[in-house]
Order: sequence, then C-alpha cells, then structure tokens
Amino acid sequence: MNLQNLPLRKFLLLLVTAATATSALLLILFYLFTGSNMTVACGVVLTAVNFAWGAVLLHFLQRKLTDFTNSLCQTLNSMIDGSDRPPVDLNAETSLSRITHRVERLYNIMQKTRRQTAEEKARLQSLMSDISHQTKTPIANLKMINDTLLTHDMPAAQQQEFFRTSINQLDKLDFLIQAMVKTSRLETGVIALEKQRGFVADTLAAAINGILVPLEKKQLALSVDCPEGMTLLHDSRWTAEALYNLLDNAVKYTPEKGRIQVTVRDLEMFLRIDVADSGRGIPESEQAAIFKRFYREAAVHDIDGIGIGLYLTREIVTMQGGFIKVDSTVGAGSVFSVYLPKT
Amino acid sequence: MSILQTTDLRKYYGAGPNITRALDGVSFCVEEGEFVAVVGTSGSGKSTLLNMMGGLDVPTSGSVRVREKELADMDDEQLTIFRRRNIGFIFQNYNLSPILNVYENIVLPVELDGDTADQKFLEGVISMLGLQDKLHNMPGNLSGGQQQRVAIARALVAKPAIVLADEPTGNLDSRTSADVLGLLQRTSNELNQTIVMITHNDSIAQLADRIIRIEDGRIVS
Repeated sequence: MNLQNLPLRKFLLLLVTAATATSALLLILFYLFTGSNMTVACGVVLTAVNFAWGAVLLHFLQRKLTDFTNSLCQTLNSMIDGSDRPPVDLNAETSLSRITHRVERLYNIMQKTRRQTAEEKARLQSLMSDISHQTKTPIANLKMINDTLLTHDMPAAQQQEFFRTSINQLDKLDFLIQAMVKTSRLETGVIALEKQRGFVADTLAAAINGILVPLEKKQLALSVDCPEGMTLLHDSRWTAEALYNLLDNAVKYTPEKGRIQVTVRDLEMFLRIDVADSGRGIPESEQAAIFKRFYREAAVHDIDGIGIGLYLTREIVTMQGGFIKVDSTVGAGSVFSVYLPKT
Repeated sequence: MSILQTTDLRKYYGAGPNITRALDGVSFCVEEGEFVAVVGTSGSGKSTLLNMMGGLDVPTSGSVRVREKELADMDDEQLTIFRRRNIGFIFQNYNLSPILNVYENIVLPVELDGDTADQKFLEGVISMLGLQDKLHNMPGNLSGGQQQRVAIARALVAKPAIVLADEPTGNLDSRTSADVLGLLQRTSNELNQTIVMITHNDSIAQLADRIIRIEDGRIVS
C-alpha cells in the first residue's frame, strides 16, 4: 500500500474498524473458551478504555501537528512580508527548529542575492562613469588638434608634429577602449571562462609572444622555467591574457638590461606561476591597492598605463577558482604569483 | 545586515595591578560572504577574540552577536547547538578524531545534529578539496595539509553561517599553506561562505577581502 497517497482520515477509519473487529473476535473467542459473562464484560470495558486513550493520543498528535504547521506558516508569512522574524527558539532540538533554521538560511541567502544584484548594478554604473571619464581626455585632445589643423595655416613640419600627437592620442584611445571592452565583458558575465585541459607551456608561450618586442627594445633578459608536458584545466585564452598583463607590467617597470623570470611550480592542489622582475618594486602600503580598477601608484604616473591590467588579471584568476599574490621589496623587484586550481 | 558583530568586547584576566587586558574594547562587523583576516602578533589578543566569536569563552563585558543572536544570552546547551549549526571551526592542529576515517570526520557535525548531510553539496566540497581518494583513510595516515583539508570540509559541511579559522596554516610549510589558503579563499568565493581567519602572517592575510589589525587587545586599523 502506498502510504504517501493514503489520506489520514481513511487510514484512521481502517485502523478503528480493524481494532474493533479484532477486539470483537477475541471477545467471542474468550466467551467460547470460558463461557463466563464476567470475562466478556471486563473485555468490553478494557477495549473501551483503550479506545478512549487512543482517542486522547490522537487528539494530542493532531494538536501538535496543527501547531507545527501553524508556526511554520507564520514563519513563512512574516518572511514574505519582510516583517520581524517570529520568535522561534532556533536552538531547541525539535523538528520545527531544524526546519526554521534552514528556512532562515534560505531567507538570508535570498536577501543577499537581492543585495548583490543591487551592488552589481552600482558597480556597472561606476564602470560606465569610469569609462566615460577616462575617454574624455584623449577625445578632447583629438578635437583640439583637429581644430588647430583646420583653422590655422602652418608649415608642413609643424603639421606633421600635430599628426604625430594625434596618432598618439588615437593609440591611447584604442588601448583604453580595448581594455574597457575586456573589463566590461568580464564584469557583466558576458564571458564565461571555458576550462579545458591544455598545456601550461602553450598558454605561457602565447602570453610571452606579446612582450617580445618591448623586451628586445629594453634588452631585458627573460628566463622561463616550466616543467615539460604539464597540463592544467584552465581557460587558455584568458589565462594567457592574465599572464600577459603581468609580463607587460614586468617589462614596463623594469629598467633596461634588467631581468624577468617566469617559474611554474606544481603544488598539491594548485599550480603556481611566478612572474618575478628586477624592477622598481611596490611599497607594502600599495600592495593591496594595485589590484583595484584604475588604480595607479602615484610614483609611476610618468609611465603609460591606466591601471586595468592587474585588476583584469585578478578577475580572470579568481573566476577560475585561483588567487594571486604579490611579494615585493622597493628597489629589488616584485614577484607576482598566480595560483590556479588543478581540479 | 551583518552576520557577526562584536560591540565593545573586553576580556580581562586577573585583577588589581596584575590585570591583563587581552581584549580592550573591540568592535567590528563581518558581512555575509566576506573573507576577513584578523592579523596580530602573538599575545595581541587575536586568539581570545576568536574564542569569544565562537562562543568558546565568555567576555568580561561587551557583546557578540552571530546572525543577530546574542551569544551571552544562551545557556551551555543552547550554545552547543548554536555552535554546531552556525559556526565551523578550523584549528591550527586540525583537531580531527583519530578513531574515525576521513568521511566520518567530515559528516560528524551534521550527524551530531541528528541530520544527514546534503549529499550533493558534500560531494562538491569533497571534490573541491581533492579528498575523493582519501575518504576511507584514517587521519593519522594523511599529511598535515591533507588533514587540514579534511578539517575545512568538516567546517563547511553543515553550511554554517560563519567559519572561524585559527592560524589554519600554523603547522604547514609554505607550499602546503598556499594550498590550504587558496582553498579557503575559493570556498569563500564559490560557496559564498563567510570566513574569519586569525593569523600573524601578513602575506597570508593578503588573500582576504579585508584585514583587521589587532594590537594589545585593540583594533589598530
């Protein structure tokens, strides 16, 4: 018999009938054996008393069940209204307390999701305002240059000069917009990182390709130590982007003839990729701030950059379940360590 | 709404001229899903603070509220149940039961509550912590890092409101520390787990969302 589908009322009816029938049968048997009316009378009384206590038990259980359902409904109702939580003793060892505990957790989580959505919206708004702010300067410059070229007569040499400045500004704008597009894509979740098993060395090579030219220009020495044939479940394209940002920084902030070293190490749960340079280093007070979007250390304002690389790198690494760490001494160089999970 | 809040928390030992102020007016909040590091040198009061937050010790004055419940208002039994459901502990010396295997250790807090573990969640945690192959091992046969991973799983499995970690890498070398910390951070991100970690090591604290510095029983930044 399927207990779940059997209505309680029907079950009780069945139970009572069965009990009455068995009692009657037993009483008849008693009478047949003993032939005494007294025994039967006692039997009847006994049965009646049992039935009475049974009814009391049933009534009590019913009350309990109604109470339980009522307080559960009350809890849920007040959560729907958003009013104060009902006073349930969360720590009693009762079923109600266990259920309420979970409902309460669910409630908190839902509240949190709501808050998170609001925060995300605010973040997007600030990203938009950041973007418009950052693009203002190069656009204003370009306008000015164009106006000057249109309205003023000037020798060809000077014109050339203006065009060159204009190209500079265009480059800056292009770089900015590309970085913004990448960031906003990551931020808005348009990009889902796709983890696939691939060679770490390939990803590393893709990242290093991007810095070969400036590396040559500054005559920096690059050494790479990566165990051969090592594979990792990761998104190769975006991880390469993240590593490229670290390498690009290393090149930018290391003086000529300096040294950059990339080391890949296999830990039990993570793979560690170190990018070490012999550059200017980062003071400890700045080490937490450098990962913020559009943050630039005051001391490096003369070096090109908008403060998006490290932010992007950390996003990419975190989205893959990893983390990033920096160790640095001013004047001696920095080591950025990327940890990517192996599972 | 913050998940943990301490207000003007004080803990004094001794009396008169010999009084030791382990905590001297500590107030801060932890929000849901945050990964907070409490950093201080030894003797700064950080372990005392952790004990207060976990309801393992009673403050001289001040209040600790976890999920808007005042810990001081509960009696011993209520506190025990509250801890079991709301607080996951990770200790420096792992504190695993040596007579239970890895799986039994992990589900212990849930089973103490007369409950069964959420299997899907449990499997997720176990695979994230890389413990699939170790479930039937005894803790004594595991390395320190592996034992600490078991302790992390145990702290997470009851889906507590908050995980308190006391020097979780104190007994581990730097390689294994990175493993344990990375996993802590990952659980904070992916499972939205609120974590408060006590440490004396600044480079470890770097991984947290927020750092609270404590010196001589007071918050300095």
